[in-house]
Amino acid sequence: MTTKETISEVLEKSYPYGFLTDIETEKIPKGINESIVRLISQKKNEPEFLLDFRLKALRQWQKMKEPEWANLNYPHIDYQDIIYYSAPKDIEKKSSLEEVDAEILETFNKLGIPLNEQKRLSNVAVDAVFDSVSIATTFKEKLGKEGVIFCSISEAVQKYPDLVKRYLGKVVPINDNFFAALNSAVFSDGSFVFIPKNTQCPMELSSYFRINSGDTGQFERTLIVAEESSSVSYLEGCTAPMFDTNTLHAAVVELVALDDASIKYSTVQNWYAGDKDGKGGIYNFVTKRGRCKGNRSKISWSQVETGSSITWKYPSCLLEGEDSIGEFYSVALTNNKQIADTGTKMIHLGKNTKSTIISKGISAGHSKNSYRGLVQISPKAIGAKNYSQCDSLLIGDQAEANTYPYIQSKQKDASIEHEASTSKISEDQLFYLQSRGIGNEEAISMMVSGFCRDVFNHLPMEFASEADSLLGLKLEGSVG
Amino acid sequence: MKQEEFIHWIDSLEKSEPFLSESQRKAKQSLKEEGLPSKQLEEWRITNIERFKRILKIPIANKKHTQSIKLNFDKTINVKNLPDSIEILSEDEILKYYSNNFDGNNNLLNIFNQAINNDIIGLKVKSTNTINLDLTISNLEKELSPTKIIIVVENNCQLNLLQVIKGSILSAHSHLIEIHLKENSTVNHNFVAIGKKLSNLLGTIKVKQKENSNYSLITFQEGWYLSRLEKKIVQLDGKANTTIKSLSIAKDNEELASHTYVKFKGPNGSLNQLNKAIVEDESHYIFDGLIEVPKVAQKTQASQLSKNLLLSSKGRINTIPKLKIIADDVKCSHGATISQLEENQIFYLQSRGINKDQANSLLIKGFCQEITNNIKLTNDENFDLYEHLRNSK
Amino acid sequence: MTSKKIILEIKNLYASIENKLILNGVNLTVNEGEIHAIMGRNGSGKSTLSKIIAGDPIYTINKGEIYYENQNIEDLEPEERSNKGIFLGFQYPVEIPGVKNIDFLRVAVNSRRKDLNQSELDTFEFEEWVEDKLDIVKMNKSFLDRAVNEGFSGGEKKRNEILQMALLQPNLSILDETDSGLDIDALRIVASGINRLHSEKKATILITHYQRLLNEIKPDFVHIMENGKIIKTGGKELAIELEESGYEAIQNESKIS
Repeated sequence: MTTKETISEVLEKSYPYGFLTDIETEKIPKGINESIVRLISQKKNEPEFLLDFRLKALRQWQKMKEPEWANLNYPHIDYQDIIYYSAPKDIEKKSSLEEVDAEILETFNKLGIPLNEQKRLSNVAVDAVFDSVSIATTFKEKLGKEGVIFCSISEAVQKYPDLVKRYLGKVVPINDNFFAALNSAVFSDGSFVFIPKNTQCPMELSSYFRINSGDTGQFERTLIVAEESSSVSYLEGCTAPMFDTNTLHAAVVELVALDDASIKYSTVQNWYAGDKDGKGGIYNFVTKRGRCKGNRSKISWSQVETGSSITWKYPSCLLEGEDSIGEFYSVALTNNKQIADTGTKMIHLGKNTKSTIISKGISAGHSKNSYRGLVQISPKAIGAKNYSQCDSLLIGDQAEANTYPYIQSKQKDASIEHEASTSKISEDQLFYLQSRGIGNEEAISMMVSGFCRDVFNHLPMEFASEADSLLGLKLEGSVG
Repeated sequence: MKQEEFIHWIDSLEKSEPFLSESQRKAKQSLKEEGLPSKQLEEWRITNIERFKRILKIPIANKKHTQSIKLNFDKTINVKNLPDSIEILSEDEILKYYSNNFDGNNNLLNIFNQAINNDIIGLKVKSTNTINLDLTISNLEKELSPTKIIIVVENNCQLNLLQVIKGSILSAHSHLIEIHLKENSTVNHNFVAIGKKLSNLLGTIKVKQKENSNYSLITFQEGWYLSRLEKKIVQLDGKANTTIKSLSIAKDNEELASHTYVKFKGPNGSLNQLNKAIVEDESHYIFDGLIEVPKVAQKTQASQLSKNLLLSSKGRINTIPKLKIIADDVKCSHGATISQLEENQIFYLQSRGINKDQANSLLIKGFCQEITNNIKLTNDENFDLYEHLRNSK
Repeated sequence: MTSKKIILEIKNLYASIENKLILNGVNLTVNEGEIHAIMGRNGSGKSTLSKIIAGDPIYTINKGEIYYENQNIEDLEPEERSNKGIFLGFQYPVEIPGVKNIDFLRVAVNSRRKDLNQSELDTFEFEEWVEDKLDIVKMNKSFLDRAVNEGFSGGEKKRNEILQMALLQPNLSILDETDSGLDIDALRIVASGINRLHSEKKATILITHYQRLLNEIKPDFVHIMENGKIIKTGGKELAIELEESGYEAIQNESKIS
């Protein structure tokens, strides 16, 4: 069998999370306008400042134009044909998990995210978001003892309005971009994390996002604040059922790190990617940005992107504080007709700021995988340093791998280094592994993992193996 | 300048010779459609467009000046007295090779040149012995001089081409050179562009390579208020070698740019590219390089390196090394660095008794020499590049 | 004399790559306990023969058969051949960036053990086991944490091949130019490893250019290959003769006979 045949066989792989949970939901009418935004705010019983925030965002959004990207065509999105709020009926957040609808618990079980605390890994707290609403947050009490707040953003709005008001929209301004403005107007739920001064969060925090309704857009909003000398590691996972239509996911994530604080944000994105002809799947247009506000603060993004029909995502760092550090470690795997356009922006504003970018793109099938990144050194960023490495692996001769790094320096005492390469799995390597008794599938998946090693090394332990097996799943066959 | 004024400027352009009138008409039409470049266009996002607009206010040189292209063949000779190995292209041949369009979206400079230019020189190299050809192009103060050259290098022929472009105060060049390399041909092309105060250069180097051809380009530019040098190279059937080396030295408030585009339209092609720049004072340098490897171009090997020295805290460098790859059996890499001189190198030199300034200039010279050492100049008494480069630190 | 088990039997083998015929009717029988040396010039087909036995898909078999332990292996995938105990030590071991040597070795060993109905080794068991074997090729433990062959020197790559042989415990080992590019000390380490791993139940084929490896490992048979064919077979004295009078002489001689 030739390598090509093997690989294409390996790539014929269905999506295991494509099932639909049958549950009664409450939805509001389709479309977006002022009364819809008011309705969402009212349903969530929000304070005045938040309604104002949403309405301001709506007015901004109405003035904005959907971005048009070169070389990227996708069917027109009718924003009036989307439902902006959907929640399992009667979902008053339950005080104990036993009260949560059994169907939903089962859904998360099937996804490998048991919400029952006894069954969970004891060192990971989970916030589970089903369509637009946070269903359950585990280990809240234990976290509470340390002063760590981990809850849905809706709950935070009710319980800690001052904190939300102080930080919401301060990293990603309302008018930052088309999708961020839309999110600011209609965001439904998401996670809120607050780590007080001098606190090391005692466990990994994790949010799990599940889109269930076909015609509902998902617009979650996550806000993480790490005060002076605190640290936290946060994980995010996502899946969706298979629909023929495209579902829009336009999340906003904001991170703030004060002096000496550190935030590690990891994502394993496995939204439904559409079928092999490119029908259906999630449009994943997400704005993620971290602000290293304090001196010596650090924000680290790690991501494993395997799903979605189209992904645009550039988790970024604003390096304001002196000696602050920004990191971006990314694996993006595209197959069939998927399009991923992802990368990062490292904006060096403070003295001696450092950033590292490691991006690994794997393109198979007819997919298109692009790295698009910006490294900017402002005149004040004396002693700033950046290192970037972007590697692409092509599988099959129909896939496309692009690299678009934008590098700008206005500071002489700064150093920027960028490297990129493109390669393929060679027949020689495959035969070598086979001649040692390792089967085709396993050999390919081994080499893909090897290609991604630099990034996997930066994922939290619990996640690294999940990411590895996810890639294996995408490419069939697992890695020992 | 506004769009309407630009349209008016286009309409006022002098008519070209009859045989080129159709191509000029098309170019004017496209230029109107394209309009003035704007920040919205990816390729012009970083360019100082105000400076581009200022060029449009410079009066266009009349034809006599355009004919100041000088051909040196061993000793200076005039265009009408070429040796047998170089032939002047007929009008029909010029039309055949002269392409109105080019792969890639960014065509503005090309169209711009074709719309305003009314003079063209076409040459065909027919000798299998290496031919040395010098082209010196200079202009007068306060004029916009359009020049256009087509060179066809026949099968198995070899050409060493030296181009020197000199800018006068407050002048601008709109220059286009198109080189067609037939099978098995070799061209070593040195392109030296040196401006004076407030001079501008809009230059396009277009190259089409057939199988087994070798094209090696070395460019050097400095001293322009605005220089935008676009190098577009296509390997028509792959299986050819392309080398590009360039050095730009930006000073004062200059803005120098190198835009390169290399496309492989067949398998087994190779590219080796090294792009260097030094930025001093309040100047700005832009490198925008794209390598395109479509599906047909299996077994392409391409490497691109952008190395930049930012020596002043008011200077600015943008570098965008882009790869667009569909073929899977390829080896492509690119790299980019922006930095100061290496402190440990300076220290090493200092520890050997060299003072800091000397150490700096030694290292800068070393940085430049990797490019300039390869520029082969024939004797031109009017202009000594060696001397010039030695003086520029 | 007790009859020895036949490990490998090649009958009238013709093979080609991209329509270019490389093997021209090879016949070879290797019994258990035997060491065979195949010598020949560059391009004589030695390496091709070894790759075909290991199942490299880039070659096409035009005619003839290959039997391993009495089974025709033509239709077996390379990994199946390996699992059954065929080992090829590569002339140019391939570099596989990112894949850790130890992970690679564990997966390889476990697939062989599965075939032998032995239990799979977990990470810890394997580490212990592999550390014992490192001594055979005098390899440092740190090699295990590096990517497969990446940045290894020529000698390190060859030692890594012998380490794999030690771990996979093959019945048939084919060592393609394992001596090339080695200095005398490295050659001794590699040769002693090969000697230690050879036994009465196993068969070894050495493919080599030079006689010097055969000073360290004593072959039972020496074959000379030329133009895709074995043109002469003898004992180890043939290697010495070859060293003295060169391929030319043997080639001429075989033409006459």
